[in-house]
Amino acid sequence: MRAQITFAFSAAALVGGLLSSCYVAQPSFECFPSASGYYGNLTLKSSNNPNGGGCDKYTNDFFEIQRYLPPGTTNGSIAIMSDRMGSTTRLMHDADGQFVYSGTTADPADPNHKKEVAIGPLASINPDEKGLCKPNLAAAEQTYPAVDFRTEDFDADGGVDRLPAIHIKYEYQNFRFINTARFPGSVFNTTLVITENDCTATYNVDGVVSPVLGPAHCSTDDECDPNPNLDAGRALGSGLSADLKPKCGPDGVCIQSVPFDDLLNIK
Amino acid sequence: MISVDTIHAHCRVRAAFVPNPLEGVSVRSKTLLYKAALMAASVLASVSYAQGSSVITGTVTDAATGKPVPDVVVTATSPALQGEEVVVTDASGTYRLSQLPAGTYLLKLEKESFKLFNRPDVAVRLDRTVRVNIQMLPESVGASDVITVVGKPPTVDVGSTSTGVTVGKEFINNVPFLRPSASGVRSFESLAAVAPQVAADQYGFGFSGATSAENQVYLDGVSVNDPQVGTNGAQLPVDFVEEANVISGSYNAEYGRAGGGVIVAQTKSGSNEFHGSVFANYTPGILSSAAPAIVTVGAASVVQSRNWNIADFGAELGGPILKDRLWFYAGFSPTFNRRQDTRTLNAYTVNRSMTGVESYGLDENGNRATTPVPGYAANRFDDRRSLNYIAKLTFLINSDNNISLSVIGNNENRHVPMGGLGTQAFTNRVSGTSVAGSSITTSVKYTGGFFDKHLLVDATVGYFRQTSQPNGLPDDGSQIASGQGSAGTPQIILRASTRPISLTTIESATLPQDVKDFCDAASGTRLPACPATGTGITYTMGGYGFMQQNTMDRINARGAVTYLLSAAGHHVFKAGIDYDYDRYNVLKAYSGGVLGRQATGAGATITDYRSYAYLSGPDEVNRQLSVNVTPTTNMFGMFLQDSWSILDRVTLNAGVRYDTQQLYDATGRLGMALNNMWSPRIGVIYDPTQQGRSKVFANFARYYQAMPLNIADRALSGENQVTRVHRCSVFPATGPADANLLNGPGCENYLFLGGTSNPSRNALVTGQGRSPVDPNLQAQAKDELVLGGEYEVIPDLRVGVTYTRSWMLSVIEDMSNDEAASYFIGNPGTGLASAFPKATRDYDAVTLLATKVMSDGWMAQLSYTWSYLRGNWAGFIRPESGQIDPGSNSTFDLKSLLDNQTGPLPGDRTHYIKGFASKQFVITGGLSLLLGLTYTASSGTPLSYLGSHPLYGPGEAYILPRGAAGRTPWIHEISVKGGVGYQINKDYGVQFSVDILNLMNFAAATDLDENLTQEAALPYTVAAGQNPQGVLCVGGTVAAGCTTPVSVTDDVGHVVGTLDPSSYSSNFKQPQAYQAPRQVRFGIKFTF
Repeated sequence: MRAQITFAFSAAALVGGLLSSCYVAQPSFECFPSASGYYGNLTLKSSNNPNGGGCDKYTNDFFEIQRYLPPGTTNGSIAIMSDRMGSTTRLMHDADGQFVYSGTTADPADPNHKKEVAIGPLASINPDEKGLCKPNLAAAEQTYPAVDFRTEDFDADGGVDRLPAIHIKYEYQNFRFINTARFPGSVFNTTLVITENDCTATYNVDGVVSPVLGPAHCSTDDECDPNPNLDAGRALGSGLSADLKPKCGPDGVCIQSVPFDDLLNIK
Repeated sequence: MISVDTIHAHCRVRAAFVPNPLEGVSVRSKTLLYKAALMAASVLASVSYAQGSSVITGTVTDAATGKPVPDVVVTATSPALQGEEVVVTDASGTYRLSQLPAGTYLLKLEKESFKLFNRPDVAVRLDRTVRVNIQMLPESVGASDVITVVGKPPTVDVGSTSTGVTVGKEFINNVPFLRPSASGVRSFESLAAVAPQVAADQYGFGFSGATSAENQVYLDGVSVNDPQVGTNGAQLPVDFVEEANVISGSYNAEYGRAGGGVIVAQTKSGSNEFHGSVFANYTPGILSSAAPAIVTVGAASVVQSRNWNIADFGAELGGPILKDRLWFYAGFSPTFNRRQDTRTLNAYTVNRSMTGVESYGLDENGNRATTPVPGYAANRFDDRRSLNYIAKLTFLINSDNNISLSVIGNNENRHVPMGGLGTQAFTNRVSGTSVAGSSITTSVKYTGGFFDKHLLVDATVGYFRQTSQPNGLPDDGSQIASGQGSAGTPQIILRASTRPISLTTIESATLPQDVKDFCDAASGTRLPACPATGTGITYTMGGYGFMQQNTMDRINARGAVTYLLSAAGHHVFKAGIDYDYDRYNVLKAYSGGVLGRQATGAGATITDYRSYAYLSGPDEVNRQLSVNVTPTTNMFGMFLQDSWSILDRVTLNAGVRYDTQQLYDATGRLGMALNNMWSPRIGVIYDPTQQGRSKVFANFARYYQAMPLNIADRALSGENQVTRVHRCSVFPATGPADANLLNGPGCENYLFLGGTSNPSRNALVTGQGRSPVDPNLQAQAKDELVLGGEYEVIPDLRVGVTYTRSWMLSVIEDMSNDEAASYFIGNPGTGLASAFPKATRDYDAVTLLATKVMSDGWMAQLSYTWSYLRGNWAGFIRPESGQIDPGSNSTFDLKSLLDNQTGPLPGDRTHYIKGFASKQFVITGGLSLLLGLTYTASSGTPLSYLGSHPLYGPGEAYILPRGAAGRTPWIHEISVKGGVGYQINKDYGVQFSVDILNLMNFAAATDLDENLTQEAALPYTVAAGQNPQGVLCVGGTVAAGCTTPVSVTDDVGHVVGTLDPSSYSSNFKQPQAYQAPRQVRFGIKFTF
């Protein structure tokens, strides 16, 4: 009897061990950016403009990223667009920066806007061992000739203004975004070189996913709390993950307080 | 000395060999060839076919000495059993007849030097164990050779702690409770309604606080759950069912993957005699009542439905192909259900101010004032048909091994025409609806016994296929992705509100002229009196819209070995494995490739609201006319359990189950893995009487749930869609063909749709990518504790009480840590979702159950259940919205959705009474009357004050804690049955019956509108002592100018003021559904 019991327990232990070894890990993540867009916090690193106030004056921007993975392809490609660049190329403004006209004006060298966005292939559809996705992005670049346009008083006085020609280029170096369980495509980092005519400036950009209703504006760090606070009149959380330890940034928008590379250590 | 008590406390024993007190034991002479019988039993036995899961066990003792008697040949025979089943008592006098089909048995006991002993009328239900202890008289006691005990054997299931009921053929035939399904089938899953702690929900029957998608349903041993969402996927008329075991809790380790209950249905089999029946049932609409119309206050168009007729007929036949070797059973039954829909119209009152501003007039309640359009009532028929069939072969390989093959199927279709009678249409679309569905269950089942039946083997291999079209297809014959007809025409949802579109314009071709005259005359203004669109009113026109065609397959293999061992009592070891492979092929499409939606306001733009497409680069839109994906899953399970009977007084059931599941996405990649599902099950049963007449028990069980494949399609595979916005120069509002303008040159793409940061200029992408899964994801599990007792107070009548408590150990849901910017799949409260509250569903229930099994012509079952179900997670279904996305419902999507969500859940019914009874009266030799009665009553379900959520829209925010708005009313239902049966001779009989369901035509509302306001109102915490109704200025007498402290937000979640009672919906707490109205069903059944 004892032998039978011993055998039964041994068999049970063996079966248990075998079954435990049947453990199947969850699938690896895909490189997939958020569809909500990203608020980018820009930190100037260098500039060729000794006077400042040009292309080196920016402190933030808004970015959207799309992934393209047509059926039959394996790795896909990534495109990123800066709101500032899009505003320049899709909307026309007068010399004071005021919106005056929207139309279909195009770069004569790029009539189909193919170079309006920075686009490039992913090395792999899966992140690397650190959870990073690193597409190799071609620069976004457009050159517009000077444009004459009618002023608001055109009907009265036939006034015409001229928009000067512009060359604008956004070059994303060492672009990478995280796709881990904690950060499912929700943060990116890049060195962004902005060229506007003769001005060139290099920035570090920390991009953090934007709430679906738009970047979370704030005046205090409390307003960047990821959780709703009904007593404070906030029905929604800030939309930033608690792992980012969000804080109120200098431009009154919630940003991460944890450096990008430190995020990779949060599992 | 033998006393009545020692044989059986309640036996009526006729005896001639001993005077009083054993009067009633009959004696007949018989020569006993004991040794020959013993040899036959142990070597060949007799020809037998046993293929079930029921058990009769007990101990045989010497009536003179009280000592156990070994080597007694126990032979069981029954009409439910082909041949005989024979076993021999062991050294402790114990016998065990296993793998028996449910039925009523005669036990014959034979042993040299003992008198023959007969025990008839041993009733055993499916999957149950009854104990029949027997005392044999030594031949020396008296002169008689055979003792026949005609008393009542016990009916208490002493082998199991399972709660629930078994529903057999007599119950089904005699008790009026079966409502036909939508297609008119009186199907087996409806039998679940008989069990305590079971209540209907939108998709079936929920058990013990769980939703209907969490059950496991077995038909002839094969799992027939819908592979997509987990609900029951098969239909079978109850006429073909031998018995169904409805288990609501405490099930053994052999059952897994369920978080609700288990339904085990066993179909009929053939025997050595030909038996069958021919039957027909008819429910005329003229005797059926119409449910009250569901009226949205101030609606312009009202559709009411009523039963026109329901009918089914069929036949079944079973018998031998080769006597004692091969049997067959077959049946078929077509069903019909016709419903009539009637559409009526209301015209609005249009006012014009002194300055020429037009508006719709209001009545005294603040609702739009309406006048019925006289003489207009468009009718159409909604027809459903089905064909149900079964074919079964049973083959006896030899005395100990048999095999059966069954094929069970159902094909059904539905047709809802576009137009009504004559030329009057219900709306302006290209086609009506045609729906087809089917299921087929194929089962091969082997049962064998080895080593004198100490080792028993059961194995089932099954194949289940289900097809469905959840949204139907066009009835003009056009096929998905064909580009033709209704399937090739886009559908548009019209919504223009500042300039509503008139019905008389949009249905110009089909509305009668007098209706157009009335609507136009009533208005005479720019605002139409009979609007098709406007605030809160939409009108769907054009092509068919969303189409989906599911083809689902399951390969199911189960095997179990049972080993009987005597060691420190009696053990029944059972070990088994099971495997499921599920495949869910779904073809889905939007007609014409796009579902358009008009903007509100002036309605100047049309959005590609839904359109399957992907981008291959910026603005490179590749529209897909259809999407075809096939996610799959593997499930493997194994279990080991021991039922250890100690001194016939205590039974210890201990078991453990292991499961694992992997789900694969549309491309075959692993999408989710559920590991290490170890489910302990332990129960203790104590029988104070030692006679099988009572038990007290306790049971703890952990149940891991399988995830249906819906999540692998929708969350793990991604659903690529691209949105564009069109400015159409030609307004599509005069006919369905106009919808094609969406794909034409008249509707230009809106430039810069995505603004200045979108890499694409005029295309927005949604639904791409797969939701990541928490690497530490735990499978979904529920713990359950059941305590109870049962006692047979008089023969065939037992009463019992059970207490059930269950709670969720872990739940799988999709969530967003960043307010909808990104989603992942995890366990609320742990791991990646540690910032979320834990998902809870706590259930407490006390059930009192009295059961009188069929004897002396009558049966009854009465139960009362008190229960309390609360938490923040309802289950695989979200009942408030009817959403059924197991593991990815909206409940936990956002943290901001969760305030005030904890409370009594929608399935909470405090009181539930179920009473069933029937009585047969024998008038003359062959003539009998049947009376059946059902009474059910349940208290209402909780209601909440719902508002809009800034991101998720109406009905998603709980303004006050869940359940604060009271409850739906009590629901009562009385149903009666009357029947006349005539037994023409021994073999032939006929029965006429009338079932009147909901005799009193009670019409209580079962669902009320919980949307208090369309405003985005913040959840409010009610202070102690504060009246919730007072907070909202509702209920009782409300002071003029009453204000609420509830905050209202703008579209981005910022507080902009307080909730104004004037924004409250007039439809709040208005009925959304009523209990089923009275139906009268006439039936005839000829049996042979």
